[in-house]
Amino acid sequence: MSGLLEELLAHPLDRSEQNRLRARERLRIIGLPDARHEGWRYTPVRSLLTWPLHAPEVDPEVEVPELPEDLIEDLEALEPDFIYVDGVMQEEEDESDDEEEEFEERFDNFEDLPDFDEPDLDRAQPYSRLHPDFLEDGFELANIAFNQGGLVLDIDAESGIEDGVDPDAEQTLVLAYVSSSEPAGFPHVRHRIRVGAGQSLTLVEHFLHEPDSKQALNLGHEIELEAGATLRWVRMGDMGDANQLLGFARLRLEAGASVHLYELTRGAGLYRQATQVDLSGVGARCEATAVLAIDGRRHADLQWRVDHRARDTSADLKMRGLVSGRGKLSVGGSLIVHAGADGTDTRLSNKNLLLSEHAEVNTKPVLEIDADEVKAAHGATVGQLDERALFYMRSRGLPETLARQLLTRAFAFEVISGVDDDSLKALLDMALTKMMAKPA
Amino acid sequence: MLTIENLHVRVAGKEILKGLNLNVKAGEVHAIMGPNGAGKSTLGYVLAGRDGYDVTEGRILFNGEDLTTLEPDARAAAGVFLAFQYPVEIPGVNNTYFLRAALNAQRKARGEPEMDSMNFLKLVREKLKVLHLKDELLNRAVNEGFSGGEKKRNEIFQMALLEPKLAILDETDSGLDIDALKLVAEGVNALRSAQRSFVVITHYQRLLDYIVPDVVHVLADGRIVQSGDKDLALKLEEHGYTWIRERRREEQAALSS
Ligand SMILES: Nc1ncnc2c1ncn2[C@@H]1O[C@H](COP(=O)(O)OP(=O)(O)O)[C@@H](O)[C@H]1O
Ligand SMILES: [Mg+2]
Repeated sequence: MSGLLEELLAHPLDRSEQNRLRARERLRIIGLPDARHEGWRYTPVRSLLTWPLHAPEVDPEVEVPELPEDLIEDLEALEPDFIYVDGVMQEEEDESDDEEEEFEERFDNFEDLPDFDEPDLDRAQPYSRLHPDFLEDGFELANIAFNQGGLVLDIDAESGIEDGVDPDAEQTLVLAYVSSSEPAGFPHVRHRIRVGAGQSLTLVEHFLHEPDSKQALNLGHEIELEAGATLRWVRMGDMGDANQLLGFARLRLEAGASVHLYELTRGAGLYRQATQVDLSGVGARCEATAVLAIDGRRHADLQWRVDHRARDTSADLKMRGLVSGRGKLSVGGSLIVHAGADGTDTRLSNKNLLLSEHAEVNTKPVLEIDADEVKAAHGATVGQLDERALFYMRSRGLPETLARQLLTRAFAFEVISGVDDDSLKALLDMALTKMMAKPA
Repeated sequence: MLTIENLHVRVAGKEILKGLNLNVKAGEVHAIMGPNGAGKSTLGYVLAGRDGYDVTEGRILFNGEDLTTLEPDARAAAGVFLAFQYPVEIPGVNNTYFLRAALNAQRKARGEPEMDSMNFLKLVREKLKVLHLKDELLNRAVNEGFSGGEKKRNEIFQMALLEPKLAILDETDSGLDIDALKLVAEGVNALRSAQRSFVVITHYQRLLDYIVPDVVHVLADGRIVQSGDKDLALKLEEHGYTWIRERRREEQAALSS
């Protein structure tokens, strides 16, 4: 057993928290993953094991790290509803206007897990309804067992009507995560979100960092979409050369629900995001698009898995990797069509550009079909910029750097060209433009 | 304007051009004809500076300057333009943006002020008309979804916009119907001037009815094997390239005896 795991399990825990206890027991059995685990083959696990894993005592009112001016300006420009600095949610200090307050009141905030026995909160426990097969990752179990809280959102039609808000109105929640230069160990944050039947939510997550920050964050999401619900989920940013992210997202979609996920990132020193989507209701749909621009000595590991468990469900996954310097990217994409999920339409396309000699990409698309009348397509490519196109552009007078820039930009933007929602398109454009502006 | 002396070029380890000589003066139009695989496109690429087309012997002078030391974009700024035999589709790069970026990059490299978008669009409209290209093509990605003929006309349109000193047209006529061919010729003829030279590579004589050359060369097996006036093109059309091959054999036999 690693010293880290021992340390984890020695962390004090309230006996009444059954979810945590269960995760802890499981963790004790399976331990933390190492490079022999298929899903972790390309991730330098050892570098993760160097962290003091349990989170520091949470007392946001005492220790709020000072952030530099320009970072604060960047943050303010994003107009986040909630800010996490080193995994700790910051208390709102300024008096927000009524409208904002009203909005925030609709979301219950917990510093810690709700009591498992409380009936009202049972609805906000989507994880308990997820497939137990997936409780197989030590770091994810650690997130469940040792998280210091997170948002618990429950968006449903009644609360919208009660508040005099148009129940069909689009709700937007903006979160920002900041890695400061204060040493903060390895905080574990876990959000639980439920979007009620027919409701829709846009969740935007920004990742920012102080230039000399060196942090790790274990970030979990449990998301449940009830029948006909819609989630637009945008994650974007740059977590810095020395920071690490372990992300675990679990989504469960009921009949006719749909998720549209966009993950546009420059990654981190180590960036690992595993996202698993259970399409458990008839006609549920998952659209997911990732653009990862990985440079320097960064390492990114994107693991996506879609489980089709009901008839006529559909998935469309697009991942684009741009890797330069000594950057490393590994992409895993699994489309699993379970028995009974007849009429499924599932596709995955992963294209990667190697922009330097030492850049590295590993890609592993997986397709398993156990149902009938399934349409499935998956493909992965690793290549370089089109030499003919580069020469054509240069022969017209474009300097090489500009020609390369235009081609890499085109490669990245291609995946969002089909977005027809104007405000979403603008947000994605902004994120990609920012990402691609830095020298790749 | 352009002086090529004893040019040897290797591509992928294979010698393609084997001692080519060519001298094009300002204001002249030279046609280069030759069978498939003779090295015509290779000549175009090596003039434009494509990677992997290595000059192993000889030299290329452009207005007295050694062209081979310049990067492709520097050659463009110096006034070299290649109309590609197979224009490249560049998805995701807007045509208008590309053209303006190209024009302004060239101007910047020459120390000229950049052109603002108003004047640029005016220039674009003017040149489009000559080639009867649809405005709508400007909003697409570079060459994406263009028909074969549109791609070729787009090459000439780019040339008209960039106003090079030396334009090399690589089989711009192939795949064009007679009307499109006339438009292309019109576009070229509109640009003919005492300061501008053309090297027109073609497989067929047909184009030369509309773009009347000063000199016609036959390129075969990596060398210019015959040069003459525009009547040479007609003779070639009549007798085919085997005629040239036979004549060469006779010449070589005469030389060795
Ligand atoms: N990139 C390349 N790699 C290998 N061989 C090439 C390449 N380009 C041209 N060649 C060879 O060089 C010769 C001349 O080609 P090319 O210049 O395209 O002829 P043309 O344009 O006269 O038809 C041909 O034998 C062709 O196969
Ligand atoms: Mg050719």
